[in-house]
Amino acid sequence: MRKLKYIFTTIILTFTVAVYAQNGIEIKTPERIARMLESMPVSNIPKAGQFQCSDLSSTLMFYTETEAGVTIQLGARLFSTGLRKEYDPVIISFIERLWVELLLRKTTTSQSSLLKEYSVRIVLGGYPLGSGSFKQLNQALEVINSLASFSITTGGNEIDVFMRDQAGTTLHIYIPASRDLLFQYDKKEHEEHLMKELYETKFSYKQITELNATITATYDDYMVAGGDCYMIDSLRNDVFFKKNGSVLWDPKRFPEESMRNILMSAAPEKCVSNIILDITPHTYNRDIRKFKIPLERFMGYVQQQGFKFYTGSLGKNGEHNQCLMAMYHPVYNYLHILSVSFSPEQLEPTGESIIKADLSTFIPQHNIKNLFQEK
Amino acid sequence: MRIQHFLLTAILTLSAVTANAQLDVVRFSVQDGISDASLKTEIEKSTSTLLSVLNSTVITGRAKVKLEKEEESIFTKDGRKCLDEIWASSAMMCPVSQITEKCISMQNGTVQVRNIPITMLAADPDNCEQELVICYNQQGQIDNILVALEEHRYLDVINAQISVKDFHRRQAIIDFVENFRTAYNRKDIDYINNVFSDNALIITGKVVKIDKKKQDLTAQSLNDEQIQYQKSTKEEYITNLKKCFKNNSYINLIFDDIEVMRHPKRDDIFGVTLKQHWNSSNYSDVGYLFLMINFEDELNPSIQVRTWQPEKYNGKPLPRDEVFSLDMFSI
Repeated sequence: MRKLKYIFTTIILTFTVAVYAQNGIEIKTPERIARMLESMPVSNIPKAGQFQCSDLSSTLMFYTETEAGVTIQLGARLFSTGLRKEYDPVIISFIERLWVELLLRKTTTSQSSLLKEYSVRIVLGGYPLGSGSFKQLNQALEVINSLASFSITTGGNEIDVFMRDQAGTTLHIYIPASRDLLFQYDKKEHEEHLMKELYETKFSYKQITELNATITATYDDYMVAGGDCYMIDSLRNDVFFKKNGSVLWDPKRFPEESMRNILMSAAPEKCVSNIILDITPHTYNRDIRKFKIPLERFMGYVQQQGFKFYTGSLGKNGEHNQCLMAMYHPVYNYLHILSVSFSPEQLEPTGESIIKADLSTFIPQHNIKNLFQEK
Repeated sequence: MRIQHFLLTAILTLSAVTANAQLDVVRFSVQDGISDASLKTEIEKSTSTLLSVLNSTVITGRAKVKLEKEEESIFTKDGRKCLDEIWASSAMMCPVSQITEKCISMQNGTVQVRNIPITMLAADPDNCEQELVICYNQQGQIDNILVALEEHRYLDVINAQISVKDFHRRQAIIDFVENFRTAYNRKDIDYINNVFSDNALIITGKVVKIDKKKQDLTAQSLNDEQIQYQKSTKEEYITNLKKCFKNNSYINLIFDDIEVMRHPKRDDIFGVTLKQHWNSSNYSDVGYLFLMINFEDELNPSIQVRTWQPEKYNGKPLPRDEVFSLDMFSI
């Protein structure tokens, strides 16, 4: 009877409140969270965002809802509000969600098996869970509950969350730098959220005026500053300057360089206005249709997401130039790719100018061994 | 040698309760590279003490490395700090009882010893066997300890000759493969049905035990297991997959080590080889997945060949040249 209650509560929470957004997108509780909710041994998850689940742990649990009432996050309240604000919320939320998943597993053997599946290592005082003096997950809580120092190291293939308590005991949580693991959304769900955010974004393009780049090439008409590339030599973080030091903006003579300056956020704001992107999304959900978005809004949004930007030339297609922008997220190890096809005139329009673009999103990069394998 | 390490590690670890005091002892001797006899003795003493203490700490399951007061003098302050930092990231033990290594004298009068085998308990199984580099001051005290970890970085090699167009196409393949994986995790049979070509070739390897009693003498001397390959049609595969989805409330496929190869003559045909970790409510395994993908219709790529092979049989990894790849199929 109690079990039935759980299921009933879960069904209400998970499935009755779905939001039908425009353009074929239905926002509902991520499948991972829905599965966790189904397994929670609590008969009545209250309306407020926090609840106690004494069958699992004395640690407070929480869930987060969208404005429309869709549960999008579930976790154990492990960290203080201050710490949650200071550090990467995705990584913090992942640990708190993982904690609930581990508590639902009950035995240390079963918990270790889940950690192995996720390739996550929780190491207390040098020992992984289930070995040496680290017999039970709860022992790690003693460190978390009396934190003296906390740090998160990112940038490689593994994220290292380090904690030390007042007594000097250390706790490391090593997490693969993989979007799929860190976020509660699978690729389809994440793409739908991204599209929804793009439709609704109010951000606007801002020119980056301070560049920490060195001059890498000098030609008759312009100079190139940059020095970094992504995977291949011709996909670069280049910005193009005139000899007098001002940013190159000359669509007639240098259409590709001018467009690449926009995509690197180096061109002045006025160059971006009046341009509309007509985007064909290449997403899991084939119901997501083409959509138009002002270039300044699109750029404004992606400027906020912590990407490293790289651009390159895709050559010409008839009268049209084609450029590619790779947006690489160095913490979550994924790539968005935008390719644009345009004529020089479209960059200097008298009125509104519509440029065709293709967008691929959340392409994982952490699991690539060799993208260019040769026999 | 690797197996020996594992055995010794297992013996050391499992004997925690009834630990034989001798099991944790490691003796380190300097082979050559140093002429100062007293420095040689100090280095041998400090290294033997360090490795033995690491082992006894693991055997007793202690959270921190504790030495007797008089033993602390084997470290400088920096050396001790170094040990504590490495230990905080992973407990470690030395899986061999006798080590003989050369010393390397540095220009500033300090000494280094390399190649000290160590088992990092918190590392994943593929990376747990490591080597320490120990640095000593002129008195033979341990001043620094380094783990000679091999960095696992795939994106270091910058490919100079590859065009942005080729990069774009190959990232589209990674994107397609990720969607394909997502479809299994979502149990989206329609998606999977749509991406397989109607006449797709589907081959699944299965490890079977050989009944040696029924074999002749020559066959009996061969291995216990072999891989049998089964060919199925798309319809058969989809039918079986539907059953699998029905029987598992939870599926979590993980793809790793993805390699993308273009067909030498057809620009729109690609081969993808990857390691697949299948985790589900009822079953889990690891194997190599090969997909031959036709990108002729870029918006609707299709899988023409899918093969799966076990990662290991006869207790050994499947040899790399036995893993299916693009050149094994004629188009």
